[in-house]
Amino acid sequence: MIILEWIASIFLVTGAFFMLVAALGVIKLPDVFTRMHAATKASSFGTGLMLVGTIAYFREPFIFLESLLVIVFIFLTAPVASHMIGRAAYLLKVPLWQGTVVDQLHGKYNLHTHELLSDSPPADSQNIAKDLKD
Amino acid sequence: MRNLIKMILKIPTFIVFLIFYIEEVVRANLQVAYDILTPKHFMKPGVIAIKMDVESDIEILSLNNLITMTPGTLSLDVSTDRKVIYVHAMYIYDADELKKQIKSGLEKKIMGLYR
Repeated sequence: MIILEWIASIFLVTGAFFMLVAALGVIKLPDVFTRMHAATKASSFGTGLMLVGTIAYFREPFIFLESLLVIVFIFLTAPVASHMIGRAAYLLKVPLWQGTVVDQLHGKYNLHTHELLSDSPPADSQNIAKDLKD
Repeated sequence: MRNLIKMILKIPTFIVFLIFYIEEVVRANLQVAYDILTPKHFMKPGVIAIKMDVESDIEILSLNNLITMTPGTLSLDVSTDRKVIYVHAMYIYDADELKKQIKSGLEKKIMGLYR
């Protein structure tokens, strides 16, 4: 069973590598939104790989089930967290990186009610946005 | 009873979807790792609006999840009337092309899974 131990350690090391990548990405990338790319994708993938390593090492039904559940819930919840952080960042007007090419979300939020329009806002809501700025 | 049969008939679609999902996650991570570990970046990030055809809660949730986990895109918010989803993307060379890709690729898969 030494092969399975090797497989387990390979999974653990790759998982750790992707978590390191996520941490480096949070430092290196230029703004909140690009950082969220690294923080959600790479870290949940890293956790998933480590849990697969655990399954390969222990090979017991309960640990298999538990690890599988943890993987499922991490992949279900990580996008929700990034969604909320991204939304909060946009509402707090965290600046986008200067290399940003297009921003179709600009001016779509009603800053009083946090309602989000699906197409270009009527003249009224633009006034509200201006009021808030003053 | 009919629901049960429908669910059983969906199992192959679900397995295909699961394989697709895992493949996308792996691809997304390799890309993110490449971006972070190479010193230069060629990013062209931006926020784009995509019209959704999916309607129910579970479909919108799945589409959000899938967009976040696929390479280069991150879902930011859904409009209050649930018609448009706002997506932050890393590489926007052609916004319309990207919209089409998400609509025909991911959204079709979600619809096939739940309908």
